[in-house]
Amino acid sequence: MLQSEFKEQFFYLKDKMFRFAKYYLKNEAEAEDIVQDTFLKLWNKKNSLSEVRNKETYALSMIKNASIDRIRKLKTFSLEEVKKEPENILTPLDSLSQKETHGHLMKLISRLNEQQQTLIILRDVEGYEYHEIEEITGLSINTIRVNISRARNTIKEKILKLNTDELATIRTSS
Amino acid sequence: MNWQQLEQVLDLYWEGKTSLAEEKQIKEAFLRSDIPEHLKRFTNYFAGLKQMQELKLPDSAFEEKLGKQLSDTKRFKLKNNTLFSYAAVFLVLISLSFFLINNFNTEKENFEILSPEELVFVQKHLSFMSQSLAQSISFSAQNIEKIGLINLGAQTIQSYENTYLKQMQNLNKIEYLNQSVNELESKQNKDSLK
Repeated sequence: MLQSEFKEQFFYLKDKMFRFAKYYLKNEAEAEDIVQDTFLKLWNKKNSLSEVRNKETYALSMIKNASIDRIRKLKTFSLEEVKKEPENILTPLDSLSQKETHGHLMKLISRLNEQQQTLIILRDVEGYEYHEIEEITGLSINTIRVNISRARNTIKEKILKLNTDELATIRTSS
Repeated sequence: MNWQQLEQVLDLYWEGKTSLAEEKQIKEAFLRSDIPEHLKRFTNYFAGLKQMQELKLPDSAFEEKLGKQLSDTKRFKLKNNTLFSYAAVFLVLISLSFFLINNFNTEKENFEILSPEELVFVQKHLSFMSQSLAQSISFSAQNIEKIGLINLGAQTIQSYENTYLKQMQNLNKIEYLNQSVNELESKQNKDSLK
């Protein structure tokens, strides 16, 4: 595979790869590093890439694995110490929430369990079909469907609860 | 699609029973200005998802840098292959030399029955082997030195990475401390107002 072909087939994925890595690593610089490493790994496999059916899901599954490995590596550098102070750790959703106006509701997603968060990101942010999510995560389609349904219901309930609480606050203050 | 239909699709959305096309319709609908009052509470959620979709890799020169790295990787790989081939030749020569030296020691007496022509031939052969061996050793020594430099570089990068990670931890702690200081100050201000 020529470098030009490789660029054409993979470079357009860079933002998706970055978002997915950032979701895992909670840090832009680390995420960018992972994207770069993954591109280099893909390039080293260039001779066998023609056998890969879906290059996009393949690249994202590599991002997922590399990010998990990086998290493990970071933990060995005693990041646990910082983890004990959860208010210090900003998830990408939280960091969005600080910068953007819609953060308050985005925090709802960050309160889901890790698997549900990944699934919501892949389905609702990246817009993948269930079979593609299956290729990326290795989960069965049934598990994906059930967890997306649960996650969305949790989000809906929290939005409704939030709304009710706000109304109650307004009534009390008036 | 009108809002009555959209609301039905929205119900299916929360249950995880919508297709990607339907989900796209919902997301687009929540960007419209005619959202019914009772559905407005979901606007921020869908807008938030849209914002996340728009998040891009911050480094605008990323592709250019990566292109260079891809070319460098190719060169490094070629160099590595060359090193391995030199190492292989070196090993073969070493093995052959040991084999010949051993045979020479154990079958020393046999040379006594060799003709002068045969002795010259053996001498020439051994001399050639010895020269090749010397060249290989010198070449390998140079390459081993290069490998040492590469390893040193990798170690330096690793140590930079460790320092960077420690810095990150410290920054997090400083941020936490700053927050605490701010909270304390605001509490003190409130107390003084009281």
